[in-house]
Amino acid sequence: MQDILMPANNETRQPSVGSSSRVFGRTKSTSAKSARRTIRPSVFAIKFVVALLVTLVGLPLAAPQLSLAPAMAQGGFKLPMSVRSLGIQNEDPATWSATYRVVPGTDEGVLEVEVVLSQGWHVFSTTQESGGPIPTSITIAAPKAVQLSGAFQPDHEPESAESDVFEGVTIEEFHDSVIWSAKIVLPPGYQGDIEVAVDGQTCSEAGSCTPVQESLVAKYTGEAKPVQTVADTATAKVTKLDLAKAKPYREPKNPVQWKAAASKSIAAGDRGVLQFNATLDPEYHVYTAAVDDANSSTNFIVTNKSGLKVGMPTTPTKIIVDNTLPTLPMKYHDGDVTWSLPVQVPAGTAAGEHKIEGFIVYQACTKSACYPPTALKFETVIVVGDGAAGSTVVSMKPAKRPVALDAADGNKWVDELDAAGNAPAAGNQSQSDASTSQAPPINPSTPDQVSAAESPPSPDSSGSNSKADSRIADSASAASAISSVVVKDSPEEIAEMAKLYNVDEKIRYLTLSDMDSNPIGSGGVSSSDTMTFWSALFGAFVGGIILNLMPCVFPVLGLKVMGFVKQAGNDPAKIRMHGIAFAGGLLVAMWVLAGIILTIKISLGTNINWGAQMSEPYFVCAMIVLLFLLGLNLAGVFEFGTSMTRVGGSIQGKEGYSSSFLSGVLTTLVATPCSGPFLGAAMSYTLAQPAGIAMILFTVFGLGIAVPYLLLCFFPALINRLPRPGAWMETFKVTMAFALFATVAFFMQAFGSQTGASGLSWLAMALVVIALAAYYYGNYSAPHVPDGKRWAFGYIMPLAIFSLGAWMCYGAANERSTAESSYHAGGLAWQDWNPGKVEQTLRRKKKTVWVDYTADW
Amino acid sequence: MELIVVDDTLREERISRDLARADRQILPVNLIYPPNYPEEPAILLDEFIGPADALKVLERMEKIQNNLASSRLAVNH
Repeated sequence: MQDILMPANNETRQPSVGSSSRVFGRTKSTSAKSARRTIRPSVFAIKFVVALLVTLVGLPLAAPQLSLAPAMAQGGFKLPMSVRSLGIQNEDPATWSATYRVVPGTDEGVLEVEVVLSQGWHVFSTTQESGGPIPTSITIAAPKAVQLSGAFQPDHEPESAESDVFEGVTIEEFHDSVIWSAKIVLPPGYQGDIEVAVDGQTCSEAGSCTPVQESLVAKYTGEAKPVQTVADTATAKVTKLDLAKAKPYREPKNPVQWKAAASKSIAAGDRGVLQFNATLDPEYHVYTAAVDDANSSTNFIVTNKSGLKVGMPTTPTKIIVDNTLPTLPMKYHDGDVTWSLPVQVPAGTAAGEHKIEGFIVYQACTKSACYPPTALKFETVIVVGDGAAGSTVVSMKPAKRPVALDAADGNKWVDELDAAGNAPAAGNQSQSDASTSQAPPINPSTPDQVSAAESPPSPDSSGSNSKADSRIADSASAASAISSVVVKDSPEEIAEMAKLYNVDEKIRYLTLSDMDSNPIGSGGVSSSDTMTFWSALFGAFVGGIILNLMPCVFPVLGLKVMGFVKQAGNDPAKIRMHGIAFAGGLLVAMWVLAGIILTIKISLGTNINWGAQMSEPYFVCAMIVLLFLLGLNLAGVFEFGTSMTRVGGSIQGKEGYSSSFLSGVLTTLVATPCSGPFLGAAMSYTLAQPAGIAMILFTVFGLGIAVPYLLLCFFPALINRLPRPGAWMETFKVTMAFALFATVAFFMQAFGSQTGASGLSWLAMALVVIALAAYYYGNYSAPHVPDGKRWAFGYIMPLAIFSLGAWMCYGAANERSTAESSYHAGGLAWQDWNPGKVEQTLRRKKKTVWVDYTADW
Repeated sequence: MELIVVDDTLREERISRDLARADRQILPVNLIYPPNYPEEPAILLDEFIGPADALKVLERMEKIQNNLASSRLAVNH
């Protein structure tokens, strides 16, 4: 957490693991500041306090969909511990090493300096322009006889992005690892140590930086090919093949066109290349081949190498970094990108044809949308022979993504090739082969040469399977990082997940309250048994009382309060009867709803839940129309006739008990979608009980809602404390009309989620028509209107218009939404759920998984 | 951390069945699985959660992840 809030302060650096060439420890100074992204504590504190206030004020009024996650998504509240900080930070974010080689018989050599960075850390290029972060500087400190004869070149292009801190400065940074190489001149026959000084700074994505002041000892590691730096070698290999003649391949309606070619013939002991070119339609991009466990990537999964070695994919194509989401920067290529995978033929390999097969998993996105992740299968035959120049065909065909992912699972699909492009020596080879988990993570920027120096363990290294898993394209994270995109699985994947994982097994969980008493490793779990009958009873009662303040219920109950005001001074017995009628209506509706749910559960064995009626657009539509009519009534558009049953809380004050009863019914109906936050545990317990006990709990829940009104009714003195009836009531009445219209809007949101824009617009038009019917009824149904006119315009015409409105409502409720839930906007990396998705994600990613069950109502 | 959203706007039977696995019937529900689940249990958040609650759970998850990494380091060495 400290990393995020402030730069590291004078921490003594610990010796790094596996950094054999390090000669000095060092200290970090306080002067370093994030070069690209900083989080000022004051801003953070303000955001935090505001978010806290919003959370505290907003939560009690929130509908079920307003849980913590969207607040996080919208940036209103940023946890001081970023999502990425859940990954493990190495104490030492950078491991530096240096080696050099000499061209035999000459005074020329190549000096290489490599840095391997922990996840989330980066260094800057040697060519970083001034006015920005400190560029990396590499010099030869000793001996003086050894001199640089050329500039240091990186083995791959840095990631470039406009700085949001240094105005007008383009930041060039390297992630994961980079090898710089430079030509040197040295005394003939010199094979001694070379002391190399490195200066610059290393920064984390969270914002903290540490200065780099390294003194490295470069050891002589052997002979170099004439004046070829790493960059030279990579370039030379890339230009060998002629991709232009390759047959293009494109998935139907996919914006990516692929071409591929491989070296036709490679001599034993030599190296060729396998190349893939992706040409993208305008506006589209594909993700880098960098596979870490936070970002998306394009994966090359080589499943059959026929004894050859295939190295990591590299590309000279510029990487574009999109920092729209600071915690999840997106790295991608657009336009035209070519990846090269070096193919090493071990010495002694038998001459003849060697088949290479594998998959590519990729995803094409624009800035606002993504195609589903796609897979293709490739296959080629490389001849081990005379090493004649030329390309051979690489065939490509569609593949199912689950098949490709399964092939990646536990399969070593990339080999370590040493600095000269060779497979590691025998000793190292066996070690490498023995444990797939030791393979370094795929890195787009990793060259086809990997230092023999031991790399720091990856934060994600977790055994052979998980290592392979970590290479699986995390396309979901990437795609969903684009605002309002929720990544969906294909039908094949859904079927695969359901088949592979046990989706019926009980979930082992602890509740928040149990967490402290069950420390990590204790293996403790909660169960529904922790909720007793009495605690459920208490929860239902208190939840019912609090429910009165929810937006679903409050306007309706406002009317009831007004009714009480009008009853001030009336016969106490009559007032009590109103209260009892209200509670009766509430309880009867509660019993009917609960009875329906319990009957269906028992008789059909299905998991129908409390509030299930809210998933039915017809019911929601009916509620909207009812509340809308009540609102129109309060707004004075019409009055219910004396012969009609008074619905809800009519404010005439002379109504019968039926009005109070119906108010109670209405209260129960509108309360159900808001009851989740208060009654989650209690309701879950209730629905798991025998019908008798469940009905008792439902009754107590209803009594909880009714108790404030019963108190008013049974203690009339309380009513007398309310303001006396007067002109203010007219204002209050119209105000309550608007409150009801707000409730209508609340339910329309749910209706819109269910039926889409089409359904919502039909409903809006239907409400206009219904309002017209109400207007005619209100104007022409009064007793003073002549009979003929009253019947024609006061009854028949409104009825006809209302019927039209009802028909439109029915049509609106028949529509179905195809859009995403609005809940997902905001930019966090959400993935869509399917049975088995959680289990699959846990198995493949080995990361914390947050699952948010929510709804738009 | 991976984020999965279960949108039950249309009340699907398969989601109800999944909720029942955690003894829950109604929304909202937030479940946070540690990376080594089921070795370590998931955490079921209360219906109302504040920043402190979320932090508490995330810190626990971070500890679990750190423990896992440490044990892997020990194995590798």
